[in-house]
Amino acid sequence: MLALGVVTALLIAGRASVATLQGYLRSAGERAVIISQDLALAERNLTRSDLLGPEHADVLRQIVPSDWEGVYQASAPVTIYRAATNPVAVFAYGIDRLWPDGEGFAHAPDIIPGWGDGAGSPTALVGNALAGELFGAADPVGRVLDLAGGLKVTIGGVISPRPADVVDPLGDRDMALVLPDEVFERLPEVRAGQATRQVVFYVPPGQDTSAAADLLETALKERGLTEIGLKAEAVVDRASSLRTLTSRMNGLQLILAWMALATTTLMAGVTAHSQVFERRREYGIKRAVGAPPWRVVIEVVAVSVGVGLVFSLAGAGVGTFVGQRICRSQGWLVVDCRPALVLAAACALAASLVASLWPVSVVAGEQPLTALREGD
Amino acid sequence: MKEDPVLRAVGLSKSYRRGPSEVWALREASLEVRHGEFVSIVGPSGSGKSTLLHLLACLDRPTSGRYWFRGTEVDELPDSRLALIRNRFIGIVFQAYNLLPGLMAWQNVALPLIYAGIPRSERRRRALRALERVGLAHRSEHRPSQLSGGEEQRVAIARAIVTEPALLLADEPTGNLDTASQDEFMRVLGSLRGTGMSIVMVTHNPALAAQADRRLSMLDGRLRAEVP
Repeated sequence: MLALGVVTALLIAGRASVATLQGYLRSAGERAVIISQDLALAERNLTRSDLLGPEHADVLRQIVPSDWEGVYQASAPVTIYRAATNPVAVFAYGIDRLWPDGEGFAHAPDIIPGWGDGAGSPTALVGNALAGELFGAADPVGRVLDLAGGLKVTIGGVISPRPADVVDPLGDRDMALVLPDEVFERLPEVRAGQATRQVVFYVPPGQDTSAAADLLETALKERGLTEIGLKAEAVVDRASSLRTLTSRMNGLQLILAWMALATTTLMAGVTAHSQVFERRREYGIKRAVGAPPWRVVIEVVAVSVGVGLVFSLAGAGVGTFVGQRICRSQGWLVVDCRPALVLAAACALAASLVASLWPVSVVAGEQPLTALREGD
Repeated sequence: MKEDPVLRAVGLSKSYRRGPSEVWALREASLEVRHGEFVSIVGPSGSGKSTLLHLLACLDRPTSGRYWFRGTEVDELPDSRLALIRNRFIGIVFQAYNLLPGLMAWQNVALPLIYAGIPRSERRRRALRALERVGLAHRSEHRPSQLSGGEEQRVAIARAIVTEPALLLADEPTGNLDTASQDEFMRVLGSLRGTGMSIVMVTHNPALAAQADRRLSMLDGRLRAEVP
């Protein structure tokens, strides 16, 4: 039965491993659903107002649940000009509101007055690596950047470095120049039609992004926005290899689970069987003093199920504890493992009952005198 | 009106298969035991004494013949009914005592009461009273391994009488005992006589058998005439 516990622990630990990996995926960019525009999918001739913009983001924000955070963002390669050195090519983002902190961004909104209020304040954020490249160790806040077309912007803050365990679905934020969207639209590169526009929705942790994408796709259809080529997709690109891995782990785990269940049933059966034969004389004595067959049967089943449950729950507890400790130590999302505990108990119960069938049939059919003779 | 006997067996036979051949352990045994009667059965080893006792105890089923216990024919009853009869009406003392080593003396004695549905506190009270009847109340908290052979035998007797059965069956009860313990056993048995309990005892010991109201003998599986 100890082995039963160990197998169960391994099973649950495997479950916890997958759970932690899934937690990692959820915290690593899979929370995002991207609304983009594919002009090839447009079903009618488009006007300039049909191009994906902040107004579409406003429409969609009214549709989705209130705890989903949506950011309109356009991006384009731009050039920063400097007096003393060569120009620097970077990727610029124009956004209508700040990204949520939960995605690994750290802002200083108090030093960016008017961001996203439509006032067109020429304030910019720069990525951590870009700030270092442009200004070395000096504080970049308050410095002015010269962009194409004579546009000047003042640096209002630095985006914190990307956390090591977070996949950035938006690209390399450490080298990004981030502007309010109306300032971004004034850039010559953008005017030349080089911008890519998206609305990114961040769903709360633990929610299925595929379901979220489906919901947004439905909303787009209902409002006729698919006619202008808008589509919704869950972010899977950078995490796809991890998704494949979890998919394989789930498959492998299913095989392991069946093997563990079969082994558990076999071991529980051997345990119940040996229990019957080790305690044969005891059962014979009990039958001799008047225990009806069903009472002895219940004893056998109760012992088998009791031992199975105790050890499997102990194993499940250890597995869950270890899995959650790993999650916490790595800063990953801790997944609720209570269903795994219930599953372990149910499996142990089923395995113990199945394994008891044969020993029980032996006990039920045995005459007390035979049990007394054979048990000696 | 004549009172029904506690048990009545007519033509009881029991055979076992041993390889290709059939071995008859008991042949055509007929017997009646009245209320309060003490019957001893003597005979050499292998004569079928224990087989007969096991049939009378409803621990085994006859190959042929009929058996009535307290007016009910029991040889065709299901196992659960036989268990009920053993529990309520029959006490059995085995030669090997058959105590459960993990239980204390009083718990061993109380074992039949569990299956009679008696509450725990009442079980303990009755078990202690039975131990008192066999002079072992002071050893109630001891386990079988802490008791002498004679004491174990008396615990087995206490277990057999704790339900106050109509019939007490004893299979070679003094086979493993020294003389002093045999005397103690007979003293206990003597105290049970006169309570209305019928006793059937299988023994090798002629002196012990001589104390019964009626003595039967067995040879080659046949129940013989009463020993004069």
